[in-house]
Amino acid sequence: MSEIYKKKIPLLITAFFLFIVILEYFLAVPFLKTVGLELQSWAVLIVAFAIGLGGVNITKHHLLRISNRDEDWYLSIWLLFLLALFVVVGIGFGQQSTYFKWLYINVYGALSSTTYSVLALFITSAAFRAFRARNFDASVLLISGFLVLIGNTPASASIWGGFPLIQEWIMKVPTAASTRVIVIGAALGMVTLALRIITGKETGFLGGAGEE
Amino acid sequence: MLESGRVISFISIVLMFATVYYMLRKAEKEKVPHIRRIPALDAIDEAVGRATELGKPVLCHMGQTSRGVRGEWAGAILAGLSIMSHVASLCARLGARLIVAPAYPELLPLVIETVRDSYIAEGNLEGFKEDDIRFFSNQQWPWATGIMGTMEREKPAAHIGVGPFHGESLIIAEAGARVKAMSILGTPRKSQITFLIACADYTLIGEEVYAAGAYLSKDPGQIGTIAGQDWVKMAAIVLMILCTLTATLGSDILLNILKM
Repeated sequence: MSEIYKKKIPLLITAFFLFIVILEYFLAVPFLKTVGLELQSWAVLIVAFAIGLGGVNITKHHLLRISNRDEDWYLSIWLLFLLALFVVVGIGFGQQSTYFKWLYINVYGALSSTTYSVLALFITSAAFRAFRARNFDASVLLISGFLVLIGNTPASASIWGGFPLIQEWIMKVPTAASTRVIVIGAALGMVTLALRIITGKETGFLGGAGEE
Repeated sequence: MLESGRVISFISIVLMFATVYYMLRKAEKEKVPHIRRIPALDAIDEAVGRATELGKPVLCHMGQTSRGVRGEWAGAILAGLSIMSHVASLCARLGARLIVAPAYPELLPLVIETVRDSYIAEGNLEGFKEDDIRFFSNQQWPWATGIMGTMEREKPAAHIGVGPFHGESLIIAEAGARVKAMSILGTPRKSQITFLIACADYTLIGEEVYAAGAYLSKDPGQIGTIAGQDWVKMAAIVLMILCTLTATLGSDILLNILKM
């Protein structure tokens, strides 16, 4: 019973809707188009409800942290306060209200920009580790990375006219060829995965990978 | 009946499904095809074993994309879920603590059930902690901040994340490297693969992500589909060569056929 409830029914539902969406894309049948649009609306609704579920998960986790007096537990109080504030202002005044926009720009926007700015630091530390001539492959990466970097600098052409040309060649020939291989391979992989799901072979995402 | 401009795509999909399905059946009935090793997937056992020995947790996630399982990266998220399920089984078997951080609220119940089932299957239900399945946000930067915070607070020994990534990929990969977590990361997104290669110990690239479930299951039929996919890939290469040749000779007949 558990196998039917936990594996077979979800797989049947997944396969059915996958099939409908595939047909809707390829066939010019108005009924299928309507069904496709309806399915998209369902998905939006499910996600909207699921956000509430996510909110409950966050609240539970942080209430537990507060009650256990875990490290930095007082930050959880601050998080829950902000969570409640956004919900109250968003529902009470609407997402287009000045209050909500102020909160969004000055709290959410500022914090997002701060996290994003960490990239500048991490790019340097990642480059420091990646660009080391440990073996032949790493040396090729180091040299080509250096040439692309220097070719992108405005002063490169005045140092030597060949730098921008080499940079352009690296980006347009070996880089483009290798990324296309990845894109084509990934597209074929996705179609194969869809077939495995439709035929009920791929069940790993429902739990139990490696149990066959 | 068929949408204009999608006729050849439809025929290609049907032919591809037929080829892959034929190889699936053949592998089930006859010989299982040999597929090359995928080091990143083989390293999962080592990463979980290391975490168990060090007494530190394993952090697992399925990447992040704002459209969640509704968008073009749904397949990659499902592949990430398959890997997460495998990691959960290993953690339950070895007794390592598992922290899962899904960025998709719609998958939260599925993730909780999958991890719980893995612990039940391994006879270690008392090791399952629902509080270790943490939803930070479905938005890019709050989720990345949650991952960074978890890295700094919990100091996981293994960081396993397969799925779609955007600009946050470098941040979370580097956060793992800072706490010396063994990183196994993968994505089919070409723009983020370079960052993962630079920062992670092992990387799943492109189609390896989608093959993960089949590879880990060791099921003959599923492995057969990967062999079928390789046949389609060869056909695509032949087609590309033919298109290049005809275009070089000044004919666009093949290109026009493909646009149908």
